Amino acid sequence: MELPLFKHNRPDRPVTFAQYRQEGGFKALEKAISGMSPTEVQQAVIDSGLRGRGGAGFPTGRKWSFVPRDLPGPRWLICNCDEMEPGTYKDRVLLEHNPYSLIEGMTLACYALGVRHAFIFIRKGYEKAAANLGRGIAEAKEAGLLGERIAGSDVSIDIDLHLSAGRYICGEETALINALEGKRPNPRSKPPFPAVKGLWDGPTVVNNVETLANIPAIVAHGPGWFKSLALNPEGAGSKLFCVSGAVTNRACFELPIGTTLGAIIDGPCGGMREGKKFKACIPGGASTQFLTAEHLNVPMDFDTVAKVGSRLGSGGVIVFEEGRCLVAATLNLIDFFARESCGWCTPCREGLPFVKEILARIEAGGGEERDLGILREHVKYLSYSFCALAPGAMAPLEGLLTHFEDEVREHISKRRCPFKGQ
Amino acid sequence: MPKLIIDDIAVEVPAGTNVLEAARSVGITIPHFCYHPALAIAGACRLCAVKLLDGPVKGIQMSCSLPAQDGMVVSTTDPEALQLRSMVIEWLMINHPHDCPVCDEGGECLLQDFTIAGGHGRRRYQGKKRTFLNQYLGEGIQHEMNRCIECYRCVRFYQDYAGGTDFGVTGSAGRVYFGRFADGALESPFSGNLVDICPTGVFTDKTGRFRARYWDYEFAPSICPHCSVGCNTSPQNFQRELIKVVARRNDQVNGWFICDRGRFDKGYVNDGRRPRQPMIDGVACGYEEALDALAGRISDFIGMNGTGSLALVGSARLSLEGAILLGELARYLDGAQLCYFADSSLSGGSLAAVQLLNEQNAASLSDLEGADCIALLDLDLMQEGPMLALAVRKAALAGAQVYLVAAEPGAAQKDLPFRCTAVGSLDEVPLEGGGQGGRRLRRRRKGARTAGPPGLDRSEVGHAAAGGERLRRGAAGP
Repeated sequence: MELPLFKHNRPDRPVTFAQYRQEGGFKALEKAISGMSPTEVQQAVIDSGLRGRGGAGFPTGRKWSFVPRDLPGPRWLICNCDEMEPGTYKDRVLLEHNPYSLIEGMTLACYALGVRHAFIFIRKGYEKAAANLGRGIAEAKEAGLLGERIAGSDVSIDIDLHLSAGRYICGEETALINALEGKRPNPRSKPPFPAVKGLWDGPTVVNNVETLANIPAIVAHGPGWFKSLALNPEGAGSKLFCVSGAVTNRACFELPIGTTLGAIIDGPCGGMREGKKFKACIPGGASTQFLTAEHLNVPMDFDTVAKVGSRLGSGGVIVFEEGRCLVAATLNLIDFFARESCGWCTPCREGLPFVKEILARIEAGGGEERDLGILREHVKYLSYSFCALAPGAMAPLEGLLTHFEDEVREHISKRRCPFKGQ
Repeated sequence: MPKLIIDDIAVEVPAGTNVLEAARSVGITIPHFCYHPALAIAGACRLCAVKLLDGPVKGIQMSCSLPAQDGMVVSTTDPEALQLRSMVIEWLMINHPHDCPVCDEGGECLLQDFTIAGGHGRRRYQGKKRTFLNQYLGEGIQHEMNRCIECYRCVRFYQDYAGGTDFGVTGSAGRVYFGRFADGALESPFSGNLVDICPTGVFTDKTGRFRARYWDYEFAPSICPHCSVGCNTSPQNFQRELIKVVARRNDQVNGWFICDRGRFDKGYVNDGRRPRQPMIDGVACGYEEALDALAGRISDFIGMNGTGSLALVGSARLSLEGAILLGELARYLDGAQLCYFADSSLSGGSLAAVQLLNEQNAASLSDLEGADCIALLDLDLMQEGPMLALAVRKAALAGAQVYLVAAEPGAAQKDLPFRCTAVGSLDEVPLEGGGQGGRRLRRRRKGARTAGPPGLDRSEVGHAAAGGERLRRGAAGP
């Protein structure tokens, strides 16, 4: 079956507005505006089983349903394109090939939610994607599919592109809202949730690029069709997997939800690179736990991956081969998180550098037996941070201690990294 | 009124009270750094962890950001919560310089107290400490950033509470820095409160550094003598010298804070030229002797010139006790002139204000904070009573309309830490019916006005008082 997100992609250049239209683009928007009520669009999204593609996997329709219908004043939709999770580059690939699915999806979401004005919060480095979006927004306006009185109806919707100054924390939805307001991007305390009190204190929905880009297909073909895309009965739709590390083809693929980890690696990725043996992988971006060779048969769906102790996350798969030191790999990730902490709460701001110091010492051969205990304390107590950054940062560490404790101990007992100088 | 159980004690608190405050109401102190009663909840330090054993919320929670709810069973001594607190202290101590012996905060340091209370003792972190360069922040405050535990109290006070713009937080992660863009004196006239509000020694009082330890000082509850607001202070004395002045909490007047004039402007108290004991013609003597000499000389003077030639000169800034005694003296010396102002018209305005002031129409600072409409009558708030400006700011942030009645509002309006509408005369302030805002005003709960006595004559004061009375009465109606 044809999958919705990459079907408009051209190998060498972004799809044009005319090509997108020709292939059925903006038909869903026209269908919704001429023949569906906002509630019907929202119901379709609820029924489709679409879950947030940014990492948390929260059901999108349910998130929308938290927006109070009767509050006066403006409400807002924000597209989160602050894609900064190490190993994750799916939104960039999508937007560099096709900005229109997102623009159409956002317009549909605005229609469903009663939003007049939406924002795309895009990472600073994504200049090509931003250029595509800027052009796409202008073209959609020109064609009367965005802006005042869309498709001749009395519905008016605008989308603004905001180029972020860029920090990892801006991907946290309340920090993103603060950043958009021109404040320091520290996360806000929840409750109140953004759906009730978000941007400029108005009801606000924040959705990931991939999530919103799925909506045109859901509206066009119906929720049943979307559900049927998945290979497992609990799943729905397709997922963008962006693979990096020790595989032959390191690229972003659209695959049905429920494709097994092994099928991704052996299929589109073309197997392991240079005959290497699979050791472990991070399945969904840097803030998810390692999966090992015993998990290769796990269907990549939110619930099934959660059952084996990790998360589908953003679909950013980082593959490690036998002989690769996972202490060093984890240290590399922790280094990133320690640097990207916003500095608001103590556990994250001070705890992550502590973890980094210990891992660096173990990797350099100066580890001590008690370090394992200190690391475990951090895995436990960093979960009481203000937002999800530090707990996310602890996921690969927890995976390391769960699946590769022997490897860590070997570092300590040999007083050196066992993978170096072999 | 939610009812909950904290450490086996049944507690009932007003709705909206958080668990930390609920515990405090029954005498249980939950360690905390970022929580401060006068500031918005931050939830940043994670020290005030408690464990919810039963009820609508369960598990480890931050008591400062958790509203008390019916049926909660809270343990402040749960091992898991204690372990988290101990780790928070350990994390904060990773970079703290442990320089208590040379820190002026020593003895009154929340970080010292809660480190002892928190159970963390032995250092496990083996890396280097992070260090910062300090800034020159003016003659009032000494900056020592290495001691910082990033509770964000300073910036939440300076920017959010006091409306300052030249001090804030820069950087991120372990490099967050609390200071200015560049070295320079802090611009806010409330900057000295950073000394009180900092839980450790990042901001210390430069005017009284290294003179004594906290436990060496003598304290006495006092009232600031600098303006008529009457902020409560606690002067700190060491060996018959006034070393520091800090704010003393009074929710009816100044809340938790005082202005910089009240804190730092104290040099005259210790001035060597100030007489320390009674003297006659420059020669030291006893009190009785001096009083006898004074009475003798006044009576000699009256004998020669009559009481009509005698003027008793007081000051509007005289203490209440002094003013009463001066009045009694004037009554005793029948016919002597008692005067407080060089210009008699000022005297009339002041007298009118005092006569028209009564328990019903006098507004406290806390009344001002809760007002819906405030008229500032020809008044430079930042000069006349800076703490009034913070009270008006609080009201303005809560939605109050503020009017500045002044012929030339420009300069006075510019420095105010809140937005106000400048109007040319009192009649333009929408009271009942008059002006555009009149209809809305009638529904307002409270009105307040504050007037600057100097420069107003008797009729203007009367006019202002009548306006205030209309505002007050209008507020009481439907």
